[in-house]
Amino acid sequence: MNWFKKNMWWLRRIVELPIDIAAFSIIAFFLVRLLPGDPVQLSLASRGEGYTHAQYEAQAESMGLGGSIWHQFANFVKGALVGNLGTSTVSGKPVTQEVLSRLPSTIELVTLGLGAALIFALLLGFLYIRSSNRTLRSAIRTYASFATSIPVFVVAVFSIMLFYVILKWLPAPLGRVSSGTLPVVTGFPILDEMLTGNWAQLGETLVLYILPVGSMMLTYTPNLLTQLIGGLDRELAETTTQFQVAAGVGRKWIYISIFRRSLSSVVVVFGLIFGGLIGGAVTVESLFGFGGIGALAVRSVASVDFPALQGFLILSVAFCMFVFFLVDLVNMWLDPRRRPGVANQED
Amino acid sequence: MEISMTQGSVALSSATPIPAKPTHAQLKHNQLKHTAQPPAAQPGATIRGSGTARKMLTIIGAFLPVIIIVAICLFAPALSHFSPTTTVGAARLSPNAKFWFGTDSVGMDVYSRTLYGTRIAIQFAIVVAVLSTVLGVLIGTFIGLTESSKGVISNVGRVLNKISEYIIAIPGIILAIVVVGLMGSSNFALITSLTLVLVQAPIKLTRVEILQVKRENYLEAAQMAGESSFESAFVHVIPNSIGPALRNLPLIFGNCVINLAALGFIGIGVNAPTPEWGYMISKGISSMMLGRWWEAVFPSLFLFASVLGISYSSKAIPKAIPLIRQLAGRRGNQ
Amino acid sequence: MHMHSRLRRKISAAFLALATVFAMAACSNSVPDADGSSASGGSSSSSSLTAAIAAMPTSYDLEGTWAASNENYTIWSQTMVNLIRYKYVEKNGVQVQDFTKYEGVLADKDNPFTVSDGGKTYTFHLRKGVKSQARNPFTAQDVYWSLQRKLNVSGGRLPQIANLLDNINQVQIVDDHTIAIHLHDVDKGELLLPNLTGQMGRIWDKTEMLKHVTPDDPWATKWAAQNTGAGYGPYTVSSVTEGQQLVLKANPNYPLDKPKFTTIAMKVVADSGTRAQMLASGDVDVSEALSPSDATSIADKVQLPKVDNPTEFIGLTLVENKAPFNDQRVRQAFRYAVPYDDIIKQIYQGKAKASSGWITPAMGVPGLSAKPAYTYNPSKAKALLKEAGKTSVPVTLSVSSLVPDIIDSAVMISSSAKQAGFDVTVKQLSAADFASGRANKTFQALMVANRSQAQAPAGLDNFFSTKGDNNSAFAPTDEYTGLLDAAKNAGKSTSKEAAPHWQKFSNFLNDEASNLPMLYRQPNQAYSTKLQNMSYRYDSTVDYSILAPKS
Repeated sequence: MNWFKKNMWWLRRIVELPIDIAAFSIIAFFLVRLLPGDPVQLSLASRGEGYTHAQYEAQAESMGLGGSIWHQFANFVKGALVGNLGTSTVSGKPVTQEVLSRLPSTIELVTLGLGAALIFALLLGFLYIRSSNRTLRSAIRTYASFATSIPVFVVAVFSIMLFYVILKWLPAPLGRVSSGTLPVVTGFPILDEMLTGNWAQLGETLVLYILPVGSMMLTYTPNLLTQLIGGLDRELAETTTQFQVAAGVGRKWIYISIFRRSLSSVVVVFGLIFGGLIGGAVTVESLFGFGGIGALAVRSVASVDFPALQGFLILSVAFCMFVFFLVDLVNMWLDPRRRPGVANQED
Repeated sequence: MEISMTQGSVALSSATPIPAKPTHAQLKHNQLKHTAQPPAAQPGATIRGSGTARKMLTIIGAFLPVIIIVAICLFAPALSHFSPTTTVGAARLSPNAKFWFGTDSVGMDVYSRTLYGTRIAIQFAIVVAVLSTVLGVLIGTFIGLTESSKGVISNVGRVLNKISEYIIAIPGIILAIVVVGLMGSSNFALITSLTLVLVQAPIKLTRVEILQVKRENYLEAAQMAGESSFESAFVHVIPNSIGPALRNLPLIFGNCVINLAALGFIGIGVNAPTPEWGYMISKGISSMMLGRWWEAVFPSLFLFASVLGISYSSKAIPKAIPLIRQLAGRRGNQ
Repeated sequence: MHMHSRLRRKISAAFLALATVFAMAACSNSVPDADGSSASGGSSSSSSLTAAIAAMPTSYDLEGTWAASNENYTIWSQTMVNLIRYKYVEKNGVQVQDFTKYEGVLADKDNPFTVSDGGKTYTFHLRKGVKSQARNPFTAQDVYWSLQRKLNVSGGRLPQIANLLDNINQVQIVDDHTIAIHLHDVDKGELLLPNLTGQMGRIWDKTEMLKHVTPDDPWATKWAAQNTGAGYGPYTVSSVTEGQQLVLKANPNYPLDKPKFTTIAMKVVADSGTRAQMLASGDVDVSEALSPSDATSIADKVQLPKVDNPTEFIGLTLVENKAPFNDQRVRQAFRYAVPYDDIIKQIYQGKAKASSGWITPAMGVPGLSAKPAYTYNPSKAKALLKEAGKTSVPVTLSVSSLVPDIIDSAVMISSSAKQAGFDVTVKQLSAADFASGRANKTFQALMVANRSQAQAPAGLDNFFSTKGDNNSAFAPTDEYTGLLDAAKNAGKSTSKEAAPHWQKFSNFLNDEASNLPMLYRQPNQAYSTKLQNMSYRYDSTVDYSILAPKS
């Protein structure tokens, strides 16, 4: 009982997660059906000739869009319970396959891009507290003030222009491999290349990742850096730190302690940008020929592909909610004061 | 409890730590807030001289970016040489004496389009920022006041809060794409979708603030004095919890310009040939890859400079205001 | 508790340090690779070829799940073949299909069919010894099953085929390698051959398809939408990386000349200028769907196919069912308000020509007028408007947001039409919104890229069929039907006798001014200078199976 009470803060979140996802799925089902345009008519109209009512009904049925909306909803719920989200009206493929064949590669790219931004921010943050050079410190602050001032696709376009077109230092932005086909085991390209031992392809992928990952790093580092610097400035002035210094704790340990206490807001912002980029990376992915999950959403809206769009919304929101959950866990782990029950505050 | 409360209020006013119990709902506002507040290198803060000239300089420096942007918006017709939406010359000319920024793929003047682009961006940004802040404060107040009370109205509050959490979990650009898809492409649809994305921060900021204000004694006192809860909301609660949402307003401004550009980039932004920066940049990419850099570079620079300028001014102006008072006071004394 | 948290701190610090080291290592490793791979960039091997395409194909079975896109057409054409095809004739280095000459693919090469019964019976002589992609022998049964599928496949019968055959009984298997089609009507013959040649005439491998049939899906549409290998075409799809690339492998059993390139890697590059840049710098061998200005920018580094008689057109439709275009004079006035020459010069870089009407020279009607049907003439437009009792007419011109050159053209029209008395607003719509509005005739005016799949003048009737979405709410009048019938009855469309009738029909459509091609544009692909046998086909796709390295 005591154990439950102690661990309530994350147990409750775990129980809530599937309930939230289920509720959102229902919203998504009705939401996408508000899109103007009729996928059945679209698929028939593009044949270039007319059609009869019976043909329309037959086509609707074959696309899984026959019958009343309640009939469709019943089918949707029945399918969703066994993990079947229907078939795309554009490609005829199962929606789960459409989403899951794209989501991992986007997650990988975003993880690398934001991971690089996090590392870069930590390095700059370290320089910031270590260095006594005023120019360097104010340069770091200026860079931090660039947060949310330029879209990532603009940085990406300029980087392609510079490194591919003008300097020719990097290969053409032609997807993840320059020859052959990516192996598919888990769907995470780099991981799959390692698992199948395709080291040459892995090298190619890493090279082709330089520009997109670099662009994301340059764009998002300031967002993390403002958080970090803010935290560092505050923590340096904290009595805890002063106490540690006075007590003669090793320099290294003081730094680690300061960083640890400053990290929580960085983690929060990291999680939020991460969630936003699951679909928002679409601009970068399209520039580099990466496909990705955002492109599926754009395609689904353009072709009123109800099943694919609702499947995308459900799975990506489920993923984002999971990420937010992790962010909270990490933060509570970094700083136990934040756990509910420790200092309770209604939510 | 007391400790966490204090931390919370510190967080909201000084824009530093994250409140005690961060749920993802609370988090977005911190991102938005923090990103806008690089803690140092702020004009005014570092000025120690007492010379009038120096103070004047600081004040001008704080207002300059906003003044320039507003001037470009107001005087775009006078500053530009050509109509921004018609073909005025040969296509794809490089920058020259007649077309300062060159011409685009249909022979429109990039200079005029870039200037007018400021207008479009600022119009959208003002509408979205004001709308998001007002709606955010109202909805946030409603949620904050009702969600822990009893009865039907509390369910409404809780549902609204849940919906807001779901919306936060949908990637912003995708949400905007879906909303524009639902409503059909129009300026109204763009404003609605951008507002829906950006209203979440003021909702959360206000809600957290309300939760705190609710504990303050004067609210109880007001209710005891017989004021209705709506009355007390408007008279006491909102004015006392509006601060964070107002401080967040310039950020919505910048985010709106960037999101609008991203939508233009994907091809669902404003209608052609409206001179919108994102649309100009995305159309200019093809040209850029083939060496015609001017179509994308100029709108990118304007986009970057204006967002930076607004966020700079939004931080510098509050610092400059005391200086203005000082100067005005001195003049009054003379 | 205290110890515990200290341990945690240590772990987290170690983790961060590790992450940093890993990332640094990854970065430093990849730098030397960068030089290596860019040096060996491009496809040097002669048997494989890389193409940059604009988007992934969405369906491989255009009978079952139809979605019109250049990429879908390409895969459909490269994985499936028909009984016959249009003969390729080389002109200026481009293999151009001659729409009046047929040769056998699955039918005998030189003697593909004979016509009997006064033009009502077409007997196809099938090639012997042909094996499918799945190595099944090809017989008349496969043709029969394929036609049956076209008449029954989900979503309704394929109208182009159904208009010719109401019943599968009209198809008769004479023997294993002979099959006959009996038509009710002689003049349907002129459309039978183009339709059997085009998108609707693909032949399936019955044996293989039957393996994928389910009770719910008697025509294996689910399987065929995602898989290839049940046909006879030059290639099969060997791998797909979603949203990134698709690889085609040559079919060793292809009955015609074996493809020179055994592997075709198609990579998605969303931006047209980037596709052009990659071709110019040798990173890809073929780039599809280039905007005219991007193609022009790389003209001196690549090969751009140029044909005498382009068949792909940009259509301008003025919808007749509501104001202002319910008045013929206003429609004509709008046609005079379009700056054809400026659009061709600025947007199409001269790679297009103003339309003289619906009947293209490629259809082979002799002696047809080549004069543009309309030119930019604002004063004439104003005069026509005045006649119609109007001075300034607001018009909303709808376009799909997917086609940049059409958006650009619409913007130029809106610029120039002001002087002609029209106040034009350009409205960009998503592909779906656009298709719905077009089918439902809710727009005032629209522009769309189009082509006549059957390059025979009688096939133009499709564009005016009241059922179709090509129609501009034009109800075929007696005059229309009379002119069309007179032309059809005057003999073969390529004959001197019929030509004047087709000219009259064309003039009528030009004067009607509701649904007309605005300009015909050159192919939008570009090829590496190391390649020969560029192609120009009825479906405007690249024929990868005939591409060869330059000797």
